[in-house]
Amino acid sequence: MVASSDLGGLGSREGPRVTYNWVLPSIAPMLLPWLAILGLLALKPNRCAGAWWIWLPLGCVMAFTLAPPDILPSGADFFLDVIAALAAGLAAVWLLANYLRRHHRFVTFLCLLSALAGFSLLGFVSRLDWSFTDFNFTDETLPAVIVLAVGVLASSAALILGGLICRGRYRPLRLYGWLLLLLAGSWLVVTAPIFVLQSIGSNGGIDWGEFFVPVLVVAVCHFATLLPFLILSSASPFYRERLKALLHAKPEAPPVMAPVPEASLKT
Amino acid sequence: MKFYLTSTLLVALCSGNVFGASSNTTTVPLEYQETSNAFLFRNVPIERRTVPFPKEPAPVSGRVVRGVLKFGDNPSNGIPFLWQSGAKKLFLGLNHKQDLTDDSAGMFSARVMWSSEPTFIIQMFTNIHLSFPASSGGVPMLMDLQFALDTARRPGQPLCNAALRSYWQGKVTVEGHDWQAGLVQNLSDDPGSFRQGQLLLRPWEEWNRPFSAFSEPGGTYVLPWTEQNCVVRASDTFAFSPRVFFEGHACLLDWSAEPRGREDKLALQLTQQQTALGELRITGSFIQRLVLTGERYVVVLDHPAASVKVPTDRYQPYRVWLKQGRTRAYFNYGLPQTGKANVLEEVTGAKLPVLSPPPPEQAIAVDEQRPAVLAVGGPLTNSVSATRQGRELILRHRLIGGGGGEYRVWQGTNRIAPQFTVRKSGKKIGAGQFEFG
Repeated sequence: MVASSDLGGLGSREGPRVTYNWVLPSIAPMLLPWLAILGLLALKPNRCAGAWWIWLPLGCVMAFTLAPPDILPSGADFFLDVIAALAAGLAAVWLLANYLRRHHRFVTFLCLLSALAGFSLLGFVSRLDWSFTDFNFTDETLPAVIVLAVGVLASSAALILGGLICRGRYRPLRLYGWLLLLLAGSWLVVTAPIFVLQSIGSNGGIDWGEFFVPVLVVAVCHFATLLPFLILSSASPFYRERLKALLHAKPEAPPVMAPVPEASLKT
Repeated sequence: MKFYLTSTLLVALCSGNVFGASSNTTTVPLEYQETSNAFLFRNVPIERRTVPFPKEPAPVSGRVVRGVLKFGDNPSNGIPFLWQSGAKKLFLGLNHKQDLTDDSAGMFSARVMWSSEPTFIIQMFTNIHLSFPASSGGVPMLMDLQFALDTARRPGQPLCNAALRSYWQGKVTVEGHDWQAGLVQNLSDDPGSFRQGQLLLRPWEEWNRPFSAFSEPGGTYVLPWTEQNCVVRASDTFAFSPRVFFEGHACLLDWSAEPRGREDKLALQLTQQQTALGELRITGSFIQRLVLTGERYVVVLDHPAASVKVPTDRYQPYRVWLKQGRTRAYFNYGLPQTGKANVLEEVTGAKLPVLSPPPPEQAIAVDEQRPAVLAVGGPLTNSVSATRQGRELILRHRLIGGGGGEYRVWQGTNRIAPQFTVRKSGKKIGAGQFEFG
């Protein structure tokens, strides 16, 4: 590398050449979430071809985080890490849905929260730099962990509440709408106290516009992360049952087994 | 230009020739001088007042802020004010009394400044003469006041920044060389005070070049970000010291009486002192000005030779400016170990330059026995350092002086950012510009 600037006679334009050996970070940690998903696919309830469709939504989200569009503002890199981690967690939840469902919704919520938090965290740490010679937490690590924690909580709460609202009958579009509203509500509820306290601390007035707009944008991004998995559940019978299990949706009524009228038999 | 020519003639007629005369003491008459550009900046604390003053101008629609501008701890120096941002008016109690209607000279109209946020009101009031009889002879100082208010986030916290535009100056001749000597009045704890102010000392050829006095970093937020770092490292002025060494002479500075009006003169007396000298060797080149602050003397060196004689003393800190052609650069001491050149200032939300004294090991001890070496100056070298941060490679540009230390080129606001080129096996694989800060 060479630095250059016009020093107007105070020195040479070009500085001395500096050599830096860039060593690619080890890819082993980055494989962790993928190996974990592979391990979950080996579980007995997942041993069927339909389960492998989970790679599709996960791959879509990961591809987006690796090649984001240019419209994203600078400094949003940590947000991409959060999205990728959340996607890994959701994929795991989709594969573990049979194990996470419990009789009581609240217990299901706790199981869902634990699984989503655990696998999301695994997905997040796998994207950190783990070269032991030069590892350090960047300034963005803590905010990213906080946003991820709020995202996990919001996802779990939205899925359980969405299931409660749509418990009568599983209708995908209605569920999507509710999930979007619930995610936005969850984010607002969690972040509002922080914003209010911060405003009070600075002795200033509260500009709610500065609060609502970014929080709603984050909620929409969150929903966009969840949407591929929801679409998978709509398209794949295998994952539809998984989602319905998580939502505590009532099983569809079996076909009525009525006796065939005798008259018809006689004819 | 006309103003400058007039003042030049006046100053030339009454300049002081210090050490050519038989006496060791000479008197240099300093005259009041106003400049078009501000050179000293200070944040003025505001004591907000919710109850109206006993006598106020007629109320107008729009936001009104009232309070007292606190210049120092002495309450007698406080200046009551009423800021009608809607009407773009400022009313000042120039006589330090709470009657804002008794003086038509105390009303000023605003120039509205651009703000990136519509809820942030910034208004500039120019050509304000303030005097502080409680801590000075009462001679007025010309300044601009900039009021700001964040109506959304901090409606109860107006900000005021004072920018000084007047000082006292004269010409002194030493060893056949003309120097501009000036006194800048204090604008902080003892407003108006000359002894707590700053001393301007530079070759007379530079008398019409705008200068910067030393401003506390907190007061510079009104300046463009690229200028702030430069202003707090200015070397034209320094905190007033009664003992100054320049042009090979040690001088004691004093005056008998302070002026009470702008038409008065301040008779600055310079008395030559005998003091022990030691040798200082300067390793670098292109040094335009070197100001060394010692325990006894402040030393001002203009285009110093590689070896100079200065009073024996321990000097720290020191300010260094380099010049070659039209390019100037300054020694950027005070850079923290993190390499970050700025901190976030919470009150204003502005980024402010860091200014901390150089580490003790950078102090220079000059004695009579052996030469002291000061490794400052050019030539400068562009250097880039790379540190890995996560999956990113952070490149930092540094301008290293001949004797080490970091410098920054000062080319005004039109500075072209330094660039970098990355090559692999001789083939260019990347390039870009460094961002300031």
